[in-house]
Amino acid sequence: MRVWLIGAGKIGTAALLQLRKNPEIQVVVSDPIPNPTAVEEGIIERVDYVENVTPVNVNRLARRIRPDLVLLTPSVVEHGLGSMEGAAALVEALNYEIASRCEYPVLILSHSNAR
Amino acid sequence: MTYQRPRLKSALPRQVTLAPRRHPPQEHPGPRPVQGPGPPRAVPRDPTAIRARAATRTVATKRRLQRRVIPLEVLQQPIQAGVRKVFDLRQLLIVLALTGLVLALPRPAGLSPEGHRALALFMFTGAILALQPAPLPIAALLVPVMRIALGINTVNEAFAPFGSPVEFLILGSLFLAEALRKHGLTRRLALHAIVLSGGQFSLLLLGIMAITGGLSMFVLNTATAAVLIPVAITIAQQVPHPEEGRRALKVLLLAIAYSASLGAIATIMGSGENAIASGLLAQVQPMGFLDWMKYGLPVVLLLLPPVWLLLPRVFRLPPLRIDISPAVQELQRLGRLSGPERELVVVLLLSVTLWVGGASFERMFRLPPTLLSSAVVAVGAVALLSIEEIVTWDDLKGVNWGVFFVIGAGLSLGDALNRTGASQWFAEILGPTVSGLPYPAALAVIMAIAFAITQFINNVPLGAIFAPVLITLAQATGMDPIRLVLPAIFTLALSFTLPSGSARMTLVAVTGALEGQETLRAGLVVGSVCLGMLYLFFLGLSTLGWI
Repeated sequence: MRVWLIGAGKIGTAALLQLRKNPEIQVVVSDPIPNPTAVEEGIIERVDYVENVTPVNVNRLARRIRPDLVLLTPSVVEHGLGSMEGAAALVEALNYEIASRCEYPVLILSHSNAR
Repeated sequence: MTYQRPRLKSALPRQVTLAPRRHPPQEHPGPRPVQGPGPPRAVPRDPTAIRARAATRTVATKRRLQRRVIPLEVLQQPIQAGVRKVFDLRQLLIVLALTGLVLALPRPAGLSPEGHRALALFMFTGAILALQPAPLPIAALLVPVMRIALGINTVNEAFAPFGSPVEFLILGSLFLAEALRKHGLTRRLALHAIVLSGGQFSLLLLGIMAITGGLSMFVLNTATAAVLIPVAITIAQQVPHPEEGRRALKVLLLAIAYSASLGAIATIMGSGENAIASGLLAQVQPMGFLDWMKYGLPVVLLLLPPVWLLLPRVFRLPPLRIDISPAVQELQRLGRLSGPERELVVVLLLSVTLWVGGASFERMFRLPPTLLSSAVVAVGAVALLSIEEIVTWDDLKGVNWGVFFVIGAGLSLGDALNRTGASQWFAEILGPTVSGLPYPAALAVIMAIAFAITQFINNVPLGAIFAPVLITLAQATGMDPIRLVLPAIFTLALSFTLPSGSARMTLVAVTGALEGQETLRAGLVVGSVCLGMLYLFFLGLSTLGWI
């Protein structure tokens, strides 16, 4: 099974730690920055796609990766929008739009996954 | 990636990480004999030259295509927007230095010692809300703390403005915005606007602007804009030609930001500066929900159409038709409104009715005074939604508390300036100058200053600074405060040129869809037109004797 993990920050790292319990799972990681939390903590060596996934490019990337499942992390930081006013609402709306537009099944992870 | 080693690493088969594959030109096996009817084909003489020419043509063709077809991209800029230090000591020292400077200056004649310290508080408030050395809610909470530290008031008086009714009206507005966002009603409305437009871009633009402006009247405008920006991105993708799609996206994003700012003018709860100004005005004259709306709503209806007409022309966008089938499919997927969503719509409509007509219903049904005041209606609406479990406390605690605290800071500052006589002193200094000017000239000066400053500094702190000064200035010159305060506060909404002017413009800048120069040019053109129309509106009201 191939899983595309969008965002390798805190929530993405928690997801990776769970996914590695099954060695049959292939995980493709994308993140807006080359050294997110998962790389810094040594969970993965590198990010496969250093790109910010948006409703515009999600299908282009998905057709390359051909995942069975897409896991989307909702963090403002992982989207790279910082702490400005309205960022959380924008990120949530972007994630919802990505999930709607994507041709592959998408699950949006919640903040509780980071615990 | 397979986990065959203790340390995970992302190692994909090469075919997953696709690199552009170049297919070698097909090799010709040599001249072929002519078979069957048909004109004889030219026989190539030099296969190597043929392959070279074919490769050159292929590369040149690819280059032409790559130059022409640049896909739409958003949010791919380096991530710097909004990334700031949690605490900036240098900026805090600047704030404290400016405050100390005012204290160190000799006390002006005619100003009491308390008034002198209130001037220092004025400088502290303006500096800390503009520079934000700490997160905005904390910066705002330091204002009453400084008020106590400067010996202006005690703790009860310093924090009392945070309990004013307008604060709870804004809080209710924040919670209602959260409810709308949670249930996706804003997005659903936008999808309906797309479908109703029939694919005609100009009608779609009008629909999106109407939804943004309408919702921004009653819920926080930044949240409304934030939800609609991804919808705009999706709409732009439906434009067949990428270059026109990019322009359409620019028009849509700016239209959302501008109409969110303009729509907020209509009501007290539309924006923080409105709440501050109305709270301070209410101390000197009646300024209820309807009193504000009778000036604000006509302004919104006056300014939205020129923005709708101007923006496509600024970006030279030709008439477009877009494919609405994705919106239709999405609406079919969403289905009909669920029970909680229908209840939310009913509660919102009921709230708007009571906000507008609450005082009339009190008289009609002989209810206790202020039972249906706007703050009570807002709190009641949220309570009802919470009881029905349409929203939960987990949803509500994530709202933007910064606006709530900044309004409190602004009201606290205004109260301090009034109590100490500092605003009276301001009025005595500036009053002779203003009273000597004819109203059209005074109006032009105030609006020009407000328009210039609001491009650089967020509206809400500016409202906290402008409102108390203008109210006292108007009183000192024997003028109705509305004649000065409302034009200035409404002008603060016209921060269209720079990301620093408002949170909506920051969100638009973050998408990366617009260059700085494009935003500046569009903002100056549209902002100038809106400023001119706003000036004529208030001049007209003054001429007619309505203000």
